[in-house]
This record gives sequence, structure tokens and C-alpha cells, in this order.
Amino acid sequence: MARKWMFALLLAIVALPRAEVLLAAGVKIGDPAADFKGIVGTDDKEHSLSDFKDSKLVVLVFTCNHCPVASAYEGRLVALQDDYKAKGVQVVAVNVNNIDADRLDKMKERAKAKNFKFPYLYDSSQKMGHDYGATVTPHVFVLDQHRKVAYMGAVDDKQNVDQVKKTYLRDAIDALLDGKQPAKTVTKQFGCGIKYEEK
Amino acid sequence: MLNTAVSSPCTRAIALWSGVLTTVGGLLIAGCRHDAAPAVESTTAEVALTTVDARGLAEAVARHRGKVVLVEFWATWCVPCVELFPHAVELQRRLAEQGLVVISVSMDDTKSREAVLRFLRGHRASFENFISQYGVGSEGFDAFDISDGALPHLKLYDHNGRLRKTFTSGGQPLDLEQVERAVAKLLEEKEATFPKQ
Repeated sequence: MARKWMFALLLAIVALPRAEVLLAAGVKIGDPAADFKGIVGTDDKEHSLSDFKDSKLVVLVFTCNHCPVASAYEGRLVALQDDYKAKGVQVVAVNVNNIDADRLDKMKERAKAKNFKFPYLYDSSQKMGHDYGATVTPHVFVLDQHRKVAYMGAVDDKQNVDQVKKTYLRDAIDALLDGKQPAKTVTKQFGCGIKYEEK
Repeated sequence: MLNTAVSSPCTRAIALWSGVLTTVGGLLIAGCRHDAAPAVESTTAEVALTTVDARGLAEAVARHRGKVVLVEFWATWCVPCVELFPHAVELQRRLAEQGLVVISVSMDDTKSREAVLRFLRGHRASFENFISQYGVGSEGFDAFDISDGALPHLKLYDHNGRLRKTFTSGGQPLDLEQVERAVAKLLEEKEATFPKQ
């Protein structure tokens, strides 16, 4: 009997979709933020999560250059940083894709063209993506004052800015700044799949 | 081999109006679909595109009970989807006679309807083609249960209309061999359940 169960268990493990095996589960709401250190940015400096210890909230956004959905959100991220800078909110963008269009030199061009006023990091090891469980660009994780994951998912409900009805990320930030739990802590991220490499 | 395309007067009328009245169009489709002619047989690539919501898609899958159904969620803005699409067309051509039905669902903005149609025509996608009524956003990815928010996303249903396998691409590119194996396995199951006369 025990052998039968062992076989069933083994079968279940083998039958797991490859993607789920290769992409770690990532973080959940309430988990401590996955730390990162020495990640190079488009400013050629190295950035660590501890650099932002004075910020009330850190908005970590997995994004990239090549994805039209991610591009559609660049202006919204710039506006978000402008609107919330004085309130102690720090946007940190990170790309973990290693395709040509997403490499550091291209990221520098994009950061300049779109006037990013926040760090745009390049984690070629893809560790940050795995640690957080980011699946697409854009995929957002808000880290609260205690650097716990307080919101994850989409920036808002529509790629087309004219159709947006629900500003999930701003709503979550407003609630957290107000000392409250966001009404929605998890929303459905959508965009281009992150291109994880097989180890 | 015969290719099929759903092209009833009902769906054509909706195609005309859906750009203007997407939501209403979606509701109309749900109402119309039951009366729609099942298929128009053709040797040329006739391509139709119908706006759909989650309920409409579930009904479309259910209509093919007795067949294995592969639903491919894609978008013109998604590079891997564009690369994968010919595979869906080829699968349908190769395995239709063995009982496979391919359905495509574009997750593009409803305003991109013409671009989607152009793409589908270019690929002679003569199977059932839908465009999500929800636009590009969390609602559509939620409604169709695209769990990791990434495209392409494939759902494979057995001959009883049960969802048996989901292929995601948020963690790793889709593995075509896995898809082919899963399709072949379900097609065999069907034969075992409903032996040929």
C-alpha cells in the first residue's frame, strides 16, 4: 500500500508542469521581502534593497524594454514616482530578461528616453525574478514599512490608459500610507512572460 | 482535408457591430450562438473572428464534446505567441480527422480587431477564432483563468469537455513536445472510450 502511495507521489512530482518546477513559488502577501544586493542599474551603480531603508514603501516593478504591455506602463510608473515621492514611496524597476532588446545598454536608452526618475536595475542572474515569483512584465510587488510584501499583481486593470477603471497599485499605496491593509492585496498580473533560462 | 470556419449571419452581424458595442456584442453572441450554423465547410481558408467572454468560450468548448479541444490564448503583441501560432494551425490540419479541435482566443485590445483578423487570415487560421471582449487587462486574464498572466497560454480539454492540462509560459517557454504528447494522449483516450465502429 505504502509503495502504491509512493508511486502516486512520484508520479505527481514528475507530472508537474515544467514551468512550476523551474520557477520557484516566490513570495506571498505578508512574507518578508526577498533581499537583493549589488544589482547594477542604468546609472552604472549597484543597488541593494537596504539602500531604500528610509522609504516608507518600495514599489518593486518587474519590467523590461521589449514588451508592449510593459512599455505601456512606463509613463504611469514615472507619474507614480512623481506623485508619491514626497510621501516616501520609492519605485524600483528591475529587468531580469537577457534577450538583446532588454540588455543594459538598451535599458539605459529607455530610462533616458522615458525620463525614469527611479532606479532601473538589471539582474542578469534572474534571481530576483525567481525570489519574488515574477511571471510577467509588468509585475508589481509593494514592500511595506517593515519590508513585508503588502501588495502584488498589476499596476491597474487595463493596459490602455484610457480604459482604466481600477487603479489597484495606487489604491494599495494609499491604504498602506494611511496605515491600512489594502482592500485588494493580490490582483492578476498580465503582460509578457519573463524569459527565464534553464539552469 | 476539409477546413471549417464558423461564419453564420449572426456572427457576421456581430463582427460588424462589435467594434462599436463590444460589451453588448458579447451578450448578443451568447444569445446567438445556440442558433448559429455549426460550420461552413470550405477548401479555402475562411477566417472569422468573434468577440467572446468567459461564458461564451465555455459554451464553445462544450459544443465540441466528443472531441479533444485545444484552446490557444494569444495576442499580436506577444512575440512567442506569434511564433507559436503556426503550430496551432498545423496541429489542426494534421489532427482534425483524429478528433482534435483548435480554438484561438486573442487577448488583444478589441480595437485591434482588424490587425487580429489580418494575422489570422495570413496564417489561414480557419478554425474557430475569438477575441476577448475584456481588452488587455487583469479582468480578461482572470475571467479566462490565465493563472500566471502570461501568453501564450494553452488549455487542453478531453472529449468529455473536462480541462485536463494547462500550458503556461510565465516561468518557461511553452514546450511544444509536451503539448503534442498531451494532445496525442487525449486523442488515444477518446479512441479507447469511443471505439471506432
